Amino acid sequence: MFEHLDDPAPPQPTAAALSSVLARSAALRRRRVTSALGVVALGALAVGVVIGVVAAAPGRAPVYAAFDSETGLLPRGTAVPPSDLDAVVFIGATRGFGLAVHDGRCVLVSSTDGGSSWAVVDPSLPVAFPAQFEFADALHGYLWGAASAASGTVPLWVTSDGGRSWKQAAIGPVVSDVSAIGSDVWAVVGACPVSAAAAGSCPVVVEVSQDAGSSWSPTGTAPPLSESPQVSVDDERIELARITHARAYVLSFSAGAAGSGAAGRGAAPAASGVVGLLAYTADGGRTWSARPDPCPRFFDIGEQMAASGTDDLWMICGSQASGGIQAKALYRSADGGLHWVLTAAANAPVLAGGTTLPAPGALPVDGYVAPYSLGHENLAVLTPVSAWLFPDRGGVVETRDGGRTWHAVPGLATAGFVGQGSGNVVFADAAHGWVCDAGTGLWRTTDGTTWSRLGP
Amino acid sequence: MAQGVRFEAAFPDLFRLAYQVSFRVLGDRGDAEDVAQEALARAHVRWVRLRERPEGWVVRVSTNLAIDRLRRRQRSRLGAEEPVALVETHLTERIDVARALGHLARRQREVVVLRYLADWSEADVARALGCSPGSVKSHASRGLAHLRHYLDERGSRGGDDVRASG
Repeated sequence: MFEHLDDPAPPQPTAAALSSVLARSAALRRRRVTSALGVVALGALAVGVVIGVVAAAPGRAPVYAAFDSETGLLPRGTAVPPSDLDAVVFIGATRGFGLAVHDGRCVLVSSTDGGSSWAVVDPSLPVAFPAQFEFADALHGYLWGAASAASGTVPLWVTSDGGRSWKQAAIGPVVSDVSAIGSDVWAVVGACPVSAAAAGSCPVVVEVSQDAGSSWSPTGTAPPLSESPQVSVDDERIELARITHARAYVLSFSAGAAGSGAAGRGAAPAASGVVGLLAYTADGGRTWSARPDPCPRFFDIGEQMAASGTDDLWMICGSQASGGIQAKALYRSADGGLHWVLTAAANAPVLAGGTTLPAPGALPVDGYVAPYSLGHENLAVLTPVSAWLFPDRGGVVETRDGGRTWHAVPGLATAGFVGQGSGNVVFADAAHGWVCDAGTGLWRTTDGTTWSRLGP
Repeated sequence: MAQGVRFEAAFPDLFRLAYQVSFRVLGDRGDAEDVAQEALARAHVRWVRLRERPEGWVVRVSTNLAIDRLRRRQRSRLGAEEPVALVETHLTERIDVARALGHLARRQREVVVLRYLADWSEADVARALGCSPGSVKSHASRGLAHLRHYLDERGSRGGDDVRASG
């Protein structure tokens, strides 16, 4: 790439050059010794003053030498730079957990200061990246993802000690999504191992734990949808959105209808053969009812949903994607998914069979949403009027008018965010939010408006 | 790659490496040689810890020293209010690349420098940085995207009309 900048006749590493280097090295050592002696002398003089102020002084900047240079298992407590995080979740304004990759291992890290500093909790998680995780509180967490090529299974791992140790939950074989409200945990589980050779459809069940993941039992009935066993869980084609202990939605957009009673869009087949299915329960899973999936033909390659309340649902529908752009449509429902209204669209007819949607509002055409995005956490709906979206390669955009208009978050740009990759946006409350640009950086807001970069 | 060798034995290869990345940034033989010697002197001080895999450290330090020197060189020119003339064919490109590298996140800069300034393979970069080849690929891809974004932005602002090739 930069060969044209090379010196066509570089100097040879001669014995004279080596001598010069060794002389410089000796001078450096002498300077170090002198400096150290000076520091000791100054330190002895200043120690009384230091003792007086040290309690009020801010903590020393974390040193990342061990994370950057050491191989093998990192000791628990090793400082991890925020720029190396691949995903974060927060259970409050200050306490968060993150995933990073070190020496080929997926590492769990945690923060107790709102994301300013991170330290290793588990240096070798039992899953590979991309993994997904969720924490209900400082102790209880859930980890899944990255199907094993050999077995085709995606187990769920449960911790009750803040991520220091993990136990495999007795559910499976393919855990697609998990949602915890306190110790009440639900998991969407595919009944067939992931397999490229498998055909047909595979039943989906919802498993429930009332004791933070120790024991599990299926809901009274299964939601009326299914999953293709050919689909890797990495593709994020099943999504669980829980609103209360009893009310929840399960979205699947990868498989054909499980039965005649399943939801669909009527007779019009999708361009891709993909059928989106949405199921809803209001009684903790004893019964499920089908809801219409609003995504129209050519906008049904991928779907993702989020809710700000029981009756306020947002659904973003995605077309084929290419060259960094993707046609998208945002539908909203004010009655829990019974009826949908087209709120905004990003039209790219070349990617959507020549179709344009006459939406009253506009989404950015830049960036990819499902199924080309990673994880469940790139759409954050805070209230019926405000939401954030982090499409892959598209940066972070926000709306303050219920999804009609979206714009890049100005405070993020001034804080150095470029957003050419993928990542997630999460909020602990209306004021405290984080944007993690995977492997690039972490940004935080503490007032919902202004953003600052955390760490290097 | 040097594996636990004495400094004197590793010196020739490390010097060539340090000089190469320094020259790509600075475009000046004297300065690049001086930066290479400084980087290797610092490596010698830390040799007990570096000797298993010194290359990544040497490349990173050489690049940082070269960028610092380029900045100082520009500041001194501006301070003297001398007319800035193109004394070397690719000077503006070197300056743009150095500036753009300064805008990358730390990990991305390390990967881009090793992968593209030092011409290492993804596997070698992964070994040097203690991460997976997939992570290197990801950082390199995003780092290049950021570089291009920055260089394009400068171009569209009417800045130097140069681009990173490749």
